[in-house]
Amino acid sequence: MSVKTTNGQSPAPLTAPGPERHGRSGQSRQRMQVTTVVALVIAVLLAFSFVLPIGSIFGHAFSAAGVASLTSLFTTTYGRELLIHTLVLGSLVGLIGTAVAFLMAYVHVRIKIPGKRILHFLSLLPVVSPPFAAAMSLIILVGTNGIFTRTFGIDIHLYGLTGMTASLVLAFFPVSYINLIGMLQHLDRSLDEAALSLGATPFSRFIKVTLPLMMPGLVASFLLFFVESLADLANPLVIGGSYDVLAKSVYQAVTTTADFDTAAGYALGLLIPGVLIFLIQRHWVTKRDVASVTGKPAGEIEVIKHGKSRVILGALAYIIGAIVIAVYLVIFLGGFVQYIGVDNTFTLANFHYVLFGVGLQPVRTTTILALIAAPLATVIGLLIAWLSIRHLRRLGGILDLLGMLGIAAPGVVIGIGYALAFGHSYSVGGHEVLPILATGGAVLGGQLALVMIFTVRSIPAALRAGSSSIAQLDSSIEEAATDLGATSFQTWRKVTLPLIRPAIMSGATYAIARSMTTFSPVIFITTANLLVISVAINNEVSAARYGIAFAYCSILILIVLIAIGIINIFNGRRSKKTGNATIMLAANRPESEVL
Amino acid sequence: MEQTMGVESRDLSELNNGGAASLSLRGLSKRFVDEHAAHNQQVGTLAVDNVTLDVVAGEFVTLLGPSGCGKTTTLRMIAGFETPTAGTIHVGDRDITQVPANKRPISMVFQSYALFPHLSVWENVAFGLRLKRLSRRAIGDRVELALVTMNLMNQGNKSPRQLSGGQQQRVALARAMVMQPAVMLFDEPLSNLDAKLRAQMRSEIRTVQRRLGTTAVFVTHDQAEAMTMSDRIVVMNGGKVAQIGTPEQIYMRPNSVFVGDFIGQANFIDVDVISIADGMAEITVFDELIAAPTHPAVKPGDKARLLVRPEALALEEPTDSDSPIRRCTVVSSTYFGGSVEYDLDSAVGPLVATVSAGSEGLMGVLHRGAEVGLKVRPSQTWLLPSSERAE
Repeated sequence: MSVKTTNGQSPAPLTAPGPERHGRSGQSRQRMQVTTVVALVIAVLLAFSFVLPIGSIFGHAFSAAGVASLTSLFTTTYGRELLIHTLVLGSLVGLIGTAVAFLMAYVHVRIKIPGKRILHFLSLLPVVSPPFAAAMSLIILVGTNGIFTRTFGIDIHLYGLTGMTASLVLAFFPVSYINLIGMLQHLDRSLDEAALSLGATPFSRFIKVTLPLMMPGLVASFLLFFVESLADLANPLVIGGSYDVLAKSVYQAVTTTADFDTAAGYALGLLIPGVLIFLIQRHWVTKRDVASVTGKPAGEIEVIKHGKSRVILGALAYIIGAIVIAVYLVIFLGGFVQYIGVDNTFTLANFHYVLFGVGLQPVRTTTILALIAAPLATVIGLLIAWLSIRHLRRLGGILDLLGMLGIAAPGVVIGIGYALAFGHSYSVGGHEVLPILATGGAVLGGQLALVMIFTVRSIPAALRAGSSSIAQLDSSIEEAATDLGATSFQTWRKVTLPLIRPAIMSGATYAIARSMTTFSPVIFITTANLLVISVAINNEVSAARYGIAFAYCSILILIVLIAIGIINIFNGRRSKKTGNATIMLAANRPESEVL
Repeated sequence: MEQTMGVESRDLSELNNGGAASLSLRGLSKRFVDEHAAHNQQVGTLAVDNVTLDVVAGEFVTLLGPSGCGKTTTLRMIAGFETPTAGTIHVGDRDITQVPANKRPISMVFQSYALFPHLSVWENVAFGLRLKRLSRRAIGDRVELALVTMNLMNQGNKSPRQLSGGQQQRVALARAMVMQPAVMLFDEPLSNLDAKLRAQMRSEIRTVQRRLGTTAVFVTHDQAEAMTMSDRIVVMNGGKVAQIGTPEQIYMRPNSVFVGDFIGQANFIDVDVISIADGMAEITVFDELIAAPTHPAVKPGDKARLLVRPEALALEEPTDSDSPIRRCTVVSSTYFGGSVEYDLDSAVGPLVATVSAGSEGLMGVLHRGAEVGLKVRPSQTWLLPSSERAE
């Protein structure tokens, strides 16, 4: 059963499971058929969204140029350098990111310091911003000509490994932070107490009990950072300098020489490790879980109120918080001045350009397409979760895997795959069976392909939120409804759906945030006539028009926050009535389920 | 008090205009097929093996057995949550084997209660009635009645989470009985309650079931529950029915060593059967010739096992004339207030004896190492074939 969450936490059933319970409950043939049909429809949709693009990559990668670029990764000096750079970046981001996320999570759960809620908010803020928001801000702060660089005369040589590591950590630590909070909160307190009563000091307890129990979560966090930095194109472009990584080579092959074969070769070099890590982790996490971390916390979590560790960890957390504040202050203020740090004249021109000028198109397009993709992704994700947990164990497992591919396949790879697969039309016997979906000349100006990408990238969050929420739902609750005369549809509508509503809401929230901020997969298929915000920001940054870029960032963050606010208000009103603590808890951290 | 009872019983008859019906299982079997060997029907575990059972209308029958004996699977087949591999299920004259769970005239009370957490107590109880599209008034009346019956008068607006375990249990019961089912099923409904509440709910469930006149099938692994609640008990083992009988039959006249051993505490003493006449076997126990009631399968000359319940053993002052075989030593004693339980070391092996405070014979609590004389009350014993023969 694929309900284990990435952080190794096992969703505990709401109530004690009955004996002799078997997954596939007695059901009529007819219902079997309906669920099978639904499953097949979803499978076909997902296959269309994945198999064609990924297949195209394989097709091009095995051309002469593709094979050459793939083998060059191992045979040429430059290729090996690319590979090593990519691995070094991934590992560094993995280690530092995990450390930062764990620090913030540990402080949030275990240490009593003032301003914790602000720290929590600051730790979550990057989720709603585009991946290179931090990079842009760091350039302004500590870049070659940055504010601090000039003020203190210290150049940290930001461009390259340093800058990419810093901005990737800042961009992706919230997801891991939420994961680790969940784990820390669910550590069985009696284990801590047992360690203490056996004579462990608080420090040796941390080393010998807390850390080993957290290992699955920490490894998951490392891999999450690793894969995200592997897949990220935004930061290498903005702040990568001459430190070339694989994702950037894919992009350069396409943009400088339009050499799709070479690009596909490099993309394959990204896809294989990305999917492998995903599969290994999925297997590993599914295997070890329940033994260490129980779902029911026994008693209140002990909070550290005194001592050296509190001062040190608290200070470190404040430093991280201060960095986040500095970064977002630059973003916010940057939109209101000509060129922050250089020409600090107040101006509304940037916002005027974004909201009332040429810059409005990307804002409008991105928002509308994200609002279309979010419900789609949520519904598909939940259906997959429901099917794979309650009905079709084996086919469901395959569906679940397909659904998760949207996150397992690096964004750059998906992007190039879409450009290759949907950048031309398909004809059978002279009849066009599939028109151009992406890039110039596509139907609906290519918006369809964008919605598809937004959707497949958002499905995993809804899927994981749905999975944990449905798995926590004692199946006897649904059986009780059946027993009282409800058809399977009535059971779904009157019992299952209301109970997993929080998961739906958070899945939708995350889908909107994810769609609005996505960059790497869409840059290959956007055109001058069809920009999305993140690509528009990248264009402005390339042209050194930071004011407009920051204005875009602020507007984007604002839109996402408004969307989340609306969903939360709606959800809050509902949950007051519903309010199942366990379900809410699981559902409120959808990202945590995503690799 | 008298008056209250009268009102309640009138109300309850209104509640139960659905009418109870008999339930019969014919050769019911369930094989769980291993997912990885779905093509081979022979692979997998036979969870329920050819169970045949007739429950009379209004009867309270308990399925009792160790975990994994197939009792829950049997119940889930009756409810319609599992499809039988073979056999039929009838309610009254109607074959419901192929009827989906939501169309069966059967309600179930779940082990976990399975109350809908997003609905209030009132809405929980009304859930099934609303699906039946009854009129608003009819629903209101019936829910109100069920809540009153279950002593939940002012709890209707609460969320199930705000209730205590016992109250949640009552809501589950109200929700099931408001449907006026022909048969009510109970899946270990008391296992999540503490001991005192469990005893209280036992009698409450039984009272409500009697007043409604509903047919009930109750699953438990707790023999005290089975003994105190049931009209008849079905002891199950390894998917098969081991014995069906009244609590007294099951306790005093088990048909196998397994049943005798599973129900209550039991001493088994290996004996040689000398002769049998009129259902009484002549055997030697502790050097004494006694006549013990015997299972018909036991034949003269057999090796057999004598079931001696702890209370069928009497302790007396040891006398010098006692043959050594009747003398035994107290290994430990447990004082229960009303009775004392002794673990004894005897020539035939360890024995358990219960001496109730009011009984004749030895008084006071004997301590470890004390020497006592032992006597068997022949009329309270039961001779069974050795388990090899019984199988």
